Amino acid sequence: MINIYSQLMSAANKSLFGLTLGPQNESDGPFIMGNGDFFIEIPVAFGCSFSDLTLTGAMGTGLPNAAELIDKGTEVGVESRLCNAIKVATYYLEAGLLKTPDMIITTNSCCDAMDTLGNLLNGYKPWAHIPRFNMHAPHSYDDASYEYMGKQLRQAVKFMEDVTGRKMDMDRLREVCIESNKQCQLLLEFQELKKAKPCPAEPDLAREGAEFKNWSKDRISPQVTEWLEILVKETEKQVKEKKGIEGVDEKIRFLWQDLAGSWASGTVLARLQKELGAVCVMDYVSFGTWTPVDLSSEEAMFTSFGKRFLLEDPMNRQALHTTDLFCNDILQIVKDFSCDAVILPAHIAHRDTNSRIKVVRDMCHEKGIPCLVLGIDIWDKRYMTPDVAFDRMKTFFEISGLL
Amino acid sequence: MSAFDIYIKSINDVLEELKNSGRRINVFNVPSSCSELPRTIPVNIGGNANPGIILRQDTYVELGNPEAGSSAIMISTNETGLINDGRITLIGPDIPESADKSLPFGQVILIGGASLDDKEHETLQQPGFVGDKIEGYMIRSLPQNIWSRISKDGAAKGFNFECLGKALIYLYKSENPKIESMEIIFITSAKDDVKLLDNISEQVRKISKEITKENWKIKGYDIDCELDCSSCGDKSVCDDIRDVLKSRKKKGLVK
Repeated sequence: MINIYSQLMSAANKSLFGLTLGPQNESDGPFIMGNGDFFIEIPVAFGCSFSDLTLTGAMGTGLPNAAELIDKGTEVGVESRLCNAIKVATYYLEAGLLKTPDMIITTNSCCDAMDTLGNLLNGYKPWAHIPRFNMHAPHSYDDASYEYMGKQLRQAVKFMEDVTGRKMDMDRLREVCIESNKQCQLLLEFQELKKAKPCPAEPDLAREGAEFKNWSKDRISPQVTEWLEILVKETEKQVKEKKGIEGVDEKIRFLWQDLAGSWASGTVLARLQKELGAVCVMDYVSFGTWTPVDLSSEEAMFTSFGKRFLLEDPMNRQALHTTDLFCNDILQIVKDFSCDAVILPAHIAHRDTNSRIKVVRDMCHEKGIPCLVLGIDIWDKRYMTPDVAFDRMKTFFEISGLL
Repeated sequence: MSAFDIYIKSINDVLEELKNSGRRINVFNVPSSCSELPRTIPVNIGGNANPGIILRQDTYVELGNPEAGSSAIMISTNETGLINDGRITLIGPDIPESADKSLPFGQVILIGGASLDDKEHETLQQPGFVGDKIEGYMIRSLPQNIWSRISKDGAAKGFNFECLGKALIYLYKSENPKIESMEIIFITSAKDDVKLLDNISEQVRKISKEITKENWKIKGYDIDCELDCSSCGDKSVCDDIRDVLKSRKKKGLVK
């Protein structure tokens, strides 16, 4: 049966794939390419396309020929343990499959693989003539860092203005931020609703919503706002009627402390939900911590952008900062969303996260929270198959007394 | 634990500033013992007192929406005399008069206990400490800010800031018997008034971070380092340095 949630999921997916794998220049304006997230409100307000090459690679690992793409990426000669999403992006770049951008904007990033991709992008000879700008993100989260990062983003705008010969319309940027603030509020509202027991809607819709807002063809548009309003309204109804996810008898709630990647949602997580009533109420990427963009002045606006970039972009939050922040987020999610267990997928390429495994394990042990370390490749299911991951998680739930 | 004492004075300075600028101030002096408090609170408190979610349409007032302004500070001290036990100060409008509004929200919790230590300060600061323990009151999940809702049902039962303050005093004191005195300040007057707390909050956060770092170090982890000590190749070097420091300390060569 097709319910409203399936319709929402399908609309968001269509728009997401439409941008990342379709023609990369959807608007008439200039086309910017980067190695990671930019503050997306900026290109939207400037009327240009922005392609995050990491995301393009990640989407590639969700295609039917993913294994072939990953192997081709490996053949390019990058380090063998490099993240497979980045390997696919590298292959796209080196094989000349990408549309030539008008500008390149890269940043040092939360992830060593994304940094490598930035270096490859900047050193790619056929694009040597293309103007480029490299932002420097500090690995800290305080007011001085937000201000510093805000200034970097302001300089990136100046760079875009210099290359194109046209000015950023600050009123338009403000308008885009108002819409974006509205969308963040709705995403946070949906997040609150996921606290209900049983979980009232497919929790992955939070991730889907965040991606639809930032990474799709319709990003920051009123269509996204409308999509989110429907999502929240329908889920409020479910909460009021104390209804859970259709066809799921919820028995366990758990946190998946990493990206869901390209295969886990549709395989192991879906099976756990359906067969065991084990619901993944939160993954790290769908944990929204957005504060609204401060629109009181241009400077305040850019400082807000800096904060969003450094602390509130999910993967930056997860990987760029201290173990203390990482652990506190786990505790907050477990408490607020009534999680019975923590799963550390320990994606093989997330070396930053994997260096924290022992700390997290000790903390969970101290607090009496069952914790399992999987050790999968979130982009390549050949490394640990969904069936093996399912069996390990099922056994873990059984021996923890949760099943 | 005296590291925070200077900021208690800073908070009093903010209160004075707001008083001098003519803000409406209400002070409630409430009983401060855990045995007396629950009888004076019009809603249920304790585990699962508020099991549900307060939906948008069931919300009487929202506090600390990031767009309206929000700041939360928790300070603990061993100098119990610095704290006016059982005092709740409200600067700005109260809940009953704010139906359907989204108010800015500043919350300052001052805790005194002669035997409180760093570890307890860290525990009291843990996210979600109050969680679902006050009927009609829901704290939303947003790290570093306090953003909450009061339900229409709660408001109908007489939920106001005096009630919230009492509930917080009860919950903190019952959680930790070492707490001897508690004082609470709420600011709802204006976003700019709440902003006056930001600088203090930032400084308090820095000290708390140092305390957390030290507590992790005791367990053998350096949380500024991406590795844990037991898996670090340089562990023996650090161990040697620690031994040297210990022996120099013994000899009185370092403080």
